Amino acid sequence: MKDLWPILTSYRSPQLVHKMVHAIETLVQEKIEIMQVCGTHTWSYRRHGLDSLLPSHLSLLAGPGCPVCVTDQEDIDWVINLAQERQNTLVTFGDIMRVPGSTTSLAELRSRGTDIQIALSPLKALDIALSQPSRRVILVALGFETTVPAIAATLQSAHRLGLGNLSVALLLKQLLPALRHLFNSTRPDGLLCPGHVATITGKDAFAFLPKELDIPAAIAGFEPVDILMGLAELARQISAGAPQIANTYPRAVSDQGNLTAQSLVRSTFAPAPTRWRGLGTLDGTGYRLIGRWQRFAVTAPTDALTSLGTSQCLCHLVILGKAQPEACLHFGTECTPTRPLGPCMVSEEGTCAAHYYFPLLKPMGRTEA
Amino acid sequence: MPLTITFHSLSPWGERKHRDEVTTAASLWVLAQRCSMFMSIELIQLAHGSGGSATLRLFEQVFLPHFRDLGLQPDNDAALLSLGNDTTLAFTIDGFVVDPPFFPGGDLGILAINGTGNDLAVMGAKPLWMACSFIISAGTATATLERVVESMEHAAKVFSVQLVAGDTKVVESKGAAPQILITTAGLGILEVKEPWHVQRIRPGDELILSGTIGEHTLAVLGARHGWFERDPVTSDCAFLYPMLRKLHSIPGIHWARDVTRGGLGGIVNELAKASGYGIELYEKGIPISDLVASWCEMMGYDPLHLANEGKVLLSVDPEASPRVLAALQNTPLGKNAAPIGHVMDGGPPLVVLNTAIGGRRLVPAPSGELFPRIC
Repeated sequence: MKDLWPILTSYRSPQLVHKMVHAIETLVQEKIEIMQVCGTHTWSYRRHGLDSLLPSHLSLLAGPGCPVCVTDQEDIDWVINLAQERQNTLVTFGDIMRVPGSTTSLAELRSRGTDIQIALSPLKALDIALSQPSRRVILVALGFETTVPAIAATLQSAHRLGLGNLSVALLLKQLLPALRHLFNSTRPDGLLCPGHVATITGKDAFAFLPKELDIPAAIAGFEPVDILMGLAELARQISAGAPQIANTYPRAVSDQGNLTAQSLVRSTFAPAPTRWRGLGTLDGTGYRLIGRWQRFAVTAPTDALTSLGTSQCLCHLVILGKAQPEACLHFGTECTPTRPLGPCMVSEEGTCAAHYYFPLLKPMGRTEA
Repeated sequence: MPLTITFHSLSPWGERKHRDEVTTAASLWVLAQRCSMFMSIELIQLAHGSGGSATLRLFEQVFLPHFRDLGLQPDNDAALLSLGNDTTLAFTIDGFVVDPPFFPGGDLGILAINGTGNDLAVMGAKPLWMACSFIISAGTATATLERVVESMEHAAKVFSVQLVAGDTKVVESKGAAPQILITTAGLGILEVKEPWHVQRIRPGDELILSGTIGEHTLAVLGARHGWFERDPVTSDCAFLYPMLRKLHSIPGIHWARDVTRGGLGGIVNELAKASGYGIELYEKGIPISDLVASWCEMMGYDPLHLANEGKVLLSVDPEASPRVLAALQNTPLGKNAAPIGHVMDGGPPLVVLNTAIGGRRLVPAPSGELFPRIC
């Protein structure tokens, strides 16, 4: 484990960062807008203070890349309802705990004694289901292409173990087809593509961006040097006027991706329509279980719930790159990570949380009063 | 171009000669910290015990209005009580609960002695007497309780602390796993001429950290979730008095604080708020082990927000800094001590971090319960 750090620090070299920043400054002469479609990029960009180093005419827009943030309000309410059924034990990733539903949140329910367990890996749901056979264990499956293989593997293990008390609430989403829908209404100058998703799907799955939509695209990793390499590549493509799909994260991403994971997913899931916050229901952007795996599904009601929605905040615009968090009236006042109004303020991958934790900072010049 | 406004107009601490300019966003951030203070808390959640902004809100909303006129000294780890005959007592109390009660490098019993002892030691006092109270939920194994009590005995003997009074209560466990809660009150005698007090902090003070950060939280989380099949992280749980005693004769130490709940990020934010000065930190200077840094990257934790149980942060006069550093580095607990930043001249009372790659950002106060991330 401890060997991870020295490897990472080589991607945090101030000398390399300095060189890359200089290269980007030379390339970016006019205002450009780049969309980053992964919450981890947003977070890393702010956490390392990259925003304080790059030219101000290079602006970064958030895209729908935080799995908690794009989950529709009705689905949040659905999960909260599932948690409240007495026979259920809900197993979930931590990020969703504080997301406010129409009336309460999972964190609040847990404080009142509801059986909700936080898992680092979906496989934990297997242990819980095995050790508590009288409980109906529901795994909240939330995430993009990156997470889907792990959910598939969990179900296959559950099947082998003959578990009858485990189900999944499917909130999984496919980012790639959603980008097609998104770019009907938004056109950034370039797209910083998510390295995690690409690790599974491969570089080639992103080729439609330059080929069909004429959008410059670069797959990037998450360390400061990785992000800068992606941005430099995008700046190069933009100034050359030649959109391409570039892989600046070759240590993790191959052309074809992880074929084992892909075949595991294909044998468990088929594409299905799903609801996105801010985008509505989009065909082919979700997953449904197929064949013998269908018995694990808890299905979301389509019309049974009356969600109040979150018209009170701008999350639905923030995740589409149509508003910056600071434009929201509630940002930083009524809406903070401890008391979030919308999901973008909850998850570490949420744009609002990243902007709240790490506001833009100018060098603090001082003047005599 | 971002709208630049002066912090001065927003600041309740704005009576200073200097004013600093921050962007709208940074001001908003501070404003948010203050606005959220006025929101009512309907239900206590785990976040209210995390040592971050939620804990502060609970304190300011529920406790401060009632206790402020009763002599409360809220800005320090222990209250100083002068007996008028050149003797000043340091007095404190702390509650301890940890799941699991035993973890690599420590346990609940050791924490209960060390934590309270350290709150006295960081005032410049020698911890001498303690009283303890146990709240035990029904269903707790006696063997577990005995192990905890043995640990307390051992720690108290090693550090010459007398356990002079105690109390036990048993409560229903109400369906939850049985738990032991220990509260220890501690009394010590001030040994430094001038107490290490937040009011003595001066602009230009150097901040010195006694060692690496993040071990305690990771050790406990790892033990709780079973992460440590290989490369376990050991808690830094330690009694700080033997190390801090070596600093008693050095003039120019203004303030000290054990860097516990809320982590370094939480403590420096409290320091900024209590002193009214801005704080500048250097990420490169902050000691952290490769193992902890790797775990943090893997789990998505910011090491600045992880708790420690054997580290102290000192604010010292720059002239005294080399002596303090040398004295710390001469002790086993302080061998990794390093200067990590300084107190800025004036406000706003925010913490700025110069990142390892050469950027700058604010360090937020931790906001609640630590949740691991999805990816």
